[in-house]
Amino acid sequence: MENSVLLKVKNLIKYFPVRGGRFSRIIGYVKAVDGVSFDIKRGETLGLVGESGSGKTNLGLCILRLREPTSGEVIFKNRDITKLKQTRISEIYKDMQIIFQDPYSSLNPRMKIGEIVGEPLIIHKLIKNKSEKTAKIKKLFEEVGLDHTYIDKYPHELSGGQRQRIIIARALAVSPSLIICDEPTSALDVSIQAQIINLLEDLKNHLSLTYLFISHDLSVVKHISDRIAVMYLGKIIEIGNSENVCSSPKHPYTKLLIFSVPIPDPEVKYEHIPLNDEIPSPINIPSGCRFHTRCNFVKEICRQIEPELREIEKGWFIACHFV
Amino acid sequence: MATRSKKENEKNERLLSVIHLKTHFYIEDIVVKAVDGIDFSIQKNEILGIVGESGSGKSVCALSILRLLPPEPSCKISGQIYFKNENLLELNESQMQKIRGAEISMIFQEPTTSLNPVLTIGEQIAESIKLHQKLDHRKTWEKVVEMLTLVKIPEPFRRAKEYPHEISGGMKQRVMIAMALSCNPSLLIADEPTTALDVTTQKQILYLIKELQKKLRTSVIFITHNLGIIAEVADKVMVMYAGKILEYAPVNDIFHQPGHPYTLSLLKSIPRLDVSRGIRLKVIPGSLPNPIDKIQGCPFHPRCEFVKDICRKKEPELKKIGDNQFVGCWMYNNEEAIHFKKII
Ligand SMILES: Nc1ncnc2c1ncn2[C@@H]1O[C@H](COP(=O)(O)OP(=O)(O)O)[C@@H](O)[C@H]1O
Ligand SMILES: Nc1ncnc2c1ncn2[C@@H]1O[C@H](COP(=O)(O)OP(=O)(O)O)[C@@H](O)[C@H]1O
Ligand SMILES: [Mg+2]
Ligand SMILES: [Mg+2]
Repeated sequence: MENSVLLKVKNLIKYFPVRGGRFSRIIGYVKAVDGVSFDIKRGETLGLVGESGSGKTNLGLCILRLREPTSGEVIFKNRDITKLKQTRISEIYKDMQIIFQDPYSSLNPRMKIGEIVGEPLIIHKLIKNKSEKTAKIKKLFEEVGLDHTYIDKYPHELSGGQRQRIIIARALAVSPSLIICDEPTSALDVSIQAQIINLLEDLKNHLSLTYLFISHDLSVVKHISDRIAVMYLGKIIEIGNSENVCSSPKHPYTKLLIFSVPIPDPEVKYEHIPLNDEIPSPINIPSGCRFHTRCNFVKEICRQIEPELREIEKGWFIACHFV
Repeated sequence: MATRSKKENEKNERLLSVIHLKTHFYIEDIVVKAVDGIDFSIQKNEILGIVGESGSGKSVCALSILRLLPPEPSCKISGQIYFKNENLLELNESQMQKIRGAEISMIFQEPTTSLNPVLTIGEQIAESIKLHQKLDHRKTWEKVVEMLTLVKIPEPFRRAKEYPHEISGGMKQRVMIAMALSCNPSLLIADEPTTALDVTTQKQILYLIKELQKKLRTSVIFITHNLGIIAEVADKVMVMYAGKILEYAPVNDIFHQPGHPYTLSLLKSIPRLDVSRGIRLKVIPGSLPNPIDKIQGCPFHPRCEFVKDICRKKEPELKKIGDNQFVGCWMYNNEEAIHFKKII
């Protein structure tokens, strides 16, 4: 079981129709997720990185069916959950949870934080009585490093880092095997970000969790992930072991991303690679290789034929004609 | 060589000196000491980086220099801000208006909110030029195109006719930079100018700011919460926490021999792309200080692993611990400093 696949995503697509004209007809599609496939093994952390608008959040939401995918398969524990009837969707949440970026907007301001953390226990009928509930909430508070005297406080009484701990505790309440973390530290200050990253790492070890860790911050993604998938305009363009991808990126876009991250060392000297600022709209995805409009190595074939993700070394896939 | 020694000379010429600046807000019966007694200066042709977590007083510090804060009694600024031998805090509003934009200009995190949606970008740059310079229509437009070219906006003639919503975030920030530099200010204050941008665009904007700084010999105050950016752009760095400066030093000292426990912890708490995986992040316990809480002694003491009795009682002054390195920490009063030096 050790290395078995927990989640398999196959050719996932999420399009939003764009309406216009006099009869408000469909005149095009926002191709938020445009054919994504990958596996996550049990106990693994897969990082998903890409610039804003690349489709990361939509991909996460579609996996959980918090948003209906347009097509494709999401096979979780050998079951295709895209085929699950609407009425049975809540079954998914007993085993798969999501944590969002903004801990404030995802907490009900009128509920005490103890109730917030305990809510999933009631929804999924995971407790028999009140004392069991109290005990479980206390344990969850302990797990995420929150003092249990906070149980009767309201979200606005907490700091950003503490709110994120509440969100994590609520996600853990159902004892899930997979947690999708969508930019869980992006709204936090540096000193608080480290607390949350370490907490996520510890929880993963203690509770044998599997993460899909989404972030636009490559340094954070590298730190926490075993493997990294790089997304550009709705598609994965490189995926592989995170050390490899970060130290010798192969796709020209991955190279640009890595080269762009400012390194906290004044002795590092940078060369300047000019780059077209303008990311194409997901409504008009460029023909051929979707990165060709910004690629410094573009050739004729790149404008015409879309490169497939090809395995160039074991477990390392790149979608570029010239790798 | 000649240019180099000129640069060296200019570096020793002081452009701005801030002396014991305090900016306090009064809201009902609460006092928010957003900036609480800071001293620093900036030389000609220099980039001063201000780094700190949110609420540490970085923006208020910048807005105090430009006097862009609510009037008394809801906000009180005290101390002195000498700019070219004039104390800005003694100028009246119309004198201050002559300074803003012409002598000192500022760019912000959100270019969208600073741009007028109903004017083309060319018209907006023209307006900022006309504010301080008397040029006829043709000369103004020549200057607009010159500024757009300076900030490397391709096809400047066509771009000048576009509206803000038609251009990307990176382009908007270039337009803001063009407006800010259109009157040749001697000081540019950039407050988190790349925080809302994607990392690849951020890189291009950082490069542009550095390049223009060299070309125009403008001094820059660059505010950011990102230590990577500080390392990339700053000559000198000021580390802020709870309205105070904890460390003030050349950029190399900050990264290679940080003097304050806070600086050191911050450096060790960030995930880095340039080191192998598997290193655990250092955690600074607790949360950021609440601006209305009155912390006695050193503002960092509740979270500091080296805290001693005196830290809880008395606030340390900035002490010179290296050639140009200043640190506000009690450990430099005794042999503990030596211990600290060993662990970094
Ligand atoms: N409900 C929606 N309707 C139409 N377009 C959407 C919707 N949600 C997201 N998008 C678009 O889909 C693209 C991908 O968005 P998202 O998944 O949020 O990207 P990311 O999380 O990588 O920033 C973006 O261009 C976004 O504007
Ligand atoms: N206009 C204002 N009125 C009252 N308090 C303010 C005002 N502006 C800023 N503050 C407070 O001053 C402190 C410093 O703010 P700021 O300089 O914006 O921090 P930073 O830019 O470092 O994140 C914060 O606690 C903030 O809430
Ligand atoms: Mg997102
Ligand atoms: Mg600020």
